[in-house]
Amino acid sequence: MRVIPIIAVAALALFIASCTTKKEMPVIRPFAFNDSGMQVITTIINEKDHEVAMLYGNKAAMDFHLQKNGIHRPQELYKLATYREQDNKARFGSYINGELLRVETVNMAAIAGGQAPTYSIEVYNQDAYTPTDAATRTAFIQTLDRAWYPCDPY
Amino acid sequence: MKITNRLKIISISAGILATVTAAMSFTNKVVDNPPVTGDLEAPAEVKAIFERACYPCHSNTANLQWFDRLPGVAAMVKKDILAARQHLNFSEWDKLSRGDQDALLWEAYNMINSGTMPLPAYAALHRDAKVSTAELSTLRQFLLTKRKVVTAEKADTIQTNTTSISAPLPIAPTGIRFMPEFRHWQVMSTTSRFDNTTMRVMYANPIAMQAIRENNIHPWPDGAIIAKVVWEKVRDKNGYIQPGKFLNVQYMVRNASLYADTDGWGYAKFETPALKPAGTLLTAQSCASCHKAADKTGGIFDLSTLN
Ligand code: HEC
Ligand code: HEC
Repeated sequence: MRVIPIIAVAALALFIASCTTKKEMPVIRPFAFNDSGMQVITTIINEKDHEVAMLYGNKAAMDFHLQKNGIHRPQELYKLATYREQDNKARFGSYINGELLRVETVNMAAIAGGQAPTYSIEVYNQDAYTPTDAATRTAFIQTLDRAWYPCDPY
Repeated sequence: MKITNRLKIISISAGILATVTAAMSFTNKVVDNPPVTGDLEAPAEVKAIFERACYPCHSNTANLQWFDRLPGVAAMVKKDILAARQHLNFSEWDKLSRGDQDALLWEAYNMINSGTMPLPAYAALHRDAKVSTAELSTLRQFLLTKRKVVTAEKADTIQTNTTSISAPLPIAPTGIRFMPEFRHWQVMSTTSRFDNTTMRVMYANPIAMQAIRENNIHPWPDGAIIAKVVWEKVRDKNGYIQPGKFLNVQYMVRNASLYADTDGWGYAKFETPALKPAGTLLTAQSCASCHKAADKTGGIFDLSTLN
């Protein structure tokens, strides 16, 4: 009289399995700052502050980094988007970019007239943020190296 | 009275007969248990969790319940055990490098946490296979002791690119071609791993990006492509982490019918600056089997979520 337990066990298994595999869908974060049309120059992680930043550049900025002749052109535009790092819910052992915290822009147009590049910053999702001075941040952004991509220039 | 007695005897003997026949048709030996060459080494409380919940399939010490030996069931159990051992065998732990052992332990945790392992149908029948919340926490604490710290220093100069990428573009065993156009796709996310020392940037092609925006990822639409670029992390003079040595570019290409064998995603991996196509067609199976743990988001792990 094994048949009954077998059927019961099988039915129970199916029933429980169907419950445990039900998908609770995590809520995906709406995307912030990746639609600028600019290319990624590099990614910088600040472990201490739990932040990750992506440096984007326009065509002229990419050219500057790929040619590496050290001569900046007024057409170059840089944007450094900084995010809070958060646990990657889909995987323990990995951090992923979370909330957008600030976007810093370095526009080289002014160098055409012999002036310093213009620096600006937009701050998001944080109450208090004390920016470092423009010159320091501009210098920081300008001294970042590009990440090595196998297909550049593309 | 007499009739009922006789009926009783008949039904009892019929019962015995049925049981004996059934018992005889039970396979006594579902699988062979090859020798244990080198067992998992881990703290006792960690090992106990794996022994109870995973060893029945992922070791050479399969200890099966009576219902696992039922005709029909036995064949399934055997298939599972053989496949399970191939992916992860705690009894032949010594055959793996230190790095591979650690990678498998992180993977094991993530497989449990996502509800992928132990196999749900098995866990439903074997109540003791369930890993509790407290046990998951024990495993996390253990893994955190294996956290990797970046010590490699950033070089002063970046290797120059040799003009532009040469035609013909490399092609993976799955037939997927290297697509340099990902450089103009939108960034989907960026991740920093602490189970190893790599960092990644993920890109989504326009179809994939639209699917994300519209939350249309169950399943992802045909034509969606995700690219992932992986670097070794290095530390710069200010203590920040930056991309160092380039490791590989990987793609997942959605086509539900073409890639039905790998859950609708085609997989491709190109390694080293020479973009050497990695693996064989079988490799795609192992890509897919691990990506099952991201089932909740249609097979894709790296989507930022709201807290
Ligand atoms: C009923 C048998 C069974 C049990 C019990 C089981 N597994 Fe598995 N496991 C499998 C099978 C079968 C595969 C291969 C899956 C495939 O080929 O897609 C597998 C694959 C895996 C993999 C490899 C995934 C990859 O990258 O290819 C990991 C890791 C894993 N299991 C972890 C665990 C852990 C941890 C436990 C215990 C909590 C566990 N499994 C319990 C059957 C089992
Ligand atoms: C052992 C498990 C495992 C295997 C095997 C595996 N992946 Fe992944 N894959 C992951 C995890 C975990 C992530 C996300 C984690 C991260 O990037 O930090 C990921 C991310 C990706 C992504 C980015 C999209 C996403 O899901 O987030 C691509 C593309 C990808 N993998 C391709 C591949 C290819 C191609 C293969 C086979 C050659 C492969 N994977 C094999 C675990 C695996």
